[in-house]
Amino acid sequence: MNDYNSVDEDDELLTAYLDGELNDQERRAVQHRLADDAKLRQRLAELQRAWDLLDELPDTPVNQEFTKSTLELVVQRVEKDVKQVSVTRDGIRLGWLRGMPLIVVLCGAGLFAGVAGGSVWRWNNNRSKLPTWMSSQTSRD
Amino acid sequence: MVKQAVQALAERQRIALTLSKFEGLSYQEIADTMGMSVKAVKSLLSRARVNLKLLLQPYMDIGAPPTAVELDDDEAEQGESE
Repeated sequence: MNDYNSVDEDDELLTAYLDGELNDQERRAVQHRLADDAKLRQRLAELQRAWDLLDELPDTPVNQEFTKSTLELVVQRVEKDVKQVSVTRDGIRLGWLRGMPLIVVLCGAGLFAGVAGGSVWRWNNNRSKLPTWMSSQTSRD
Repeated sequence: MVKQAVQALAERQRIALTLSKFEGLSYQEIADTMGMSVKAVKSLLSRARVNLKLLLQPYMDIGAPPTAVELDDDEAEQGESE
């Protein structure tokens, strides 16, 4: 019964009728035949009933273990991410502390340079105010 | 029982059935999806319905599990689509 020609025309017609795939004229013709033919009505009912039984197919239940392991993986991943963020923050904090001595040294050097520069400027400024003979004496020294 | 019956169908019948029943596709859409003619889809779904009826008949009658039934396969539809 696997020959294409062996497909029963009435089965095909009834299937198309049940699937709403007939045009108005074809549908009316089938309805007329159904009204007159009890066997055809029986055939239609059986095809429809078998089709309706498909509604009893349960939704595929999700395996409990699968759900559990998936949730555990998610939790593990979240915990890992949280730890990474924490470590990164600590790293930034420690890095800043590690840079402290350098900052202190740079600040000290800047302060020293400022004080020294100011002293030289004051010295030069004051020297220009000295009497000429004293200024020349100073420059000779 | 119903699941066993569906699994017993030929693959192409099962696909067509799924697209029609559960995805609500029209014959034309199924034909486009499966690369077949509408006529072949019509035949395929007819076979699927008839085979399903044969497989589930005992279950429908007396609640017995589906028995081994010689089913129509869909070799013809395969040829039709090529």
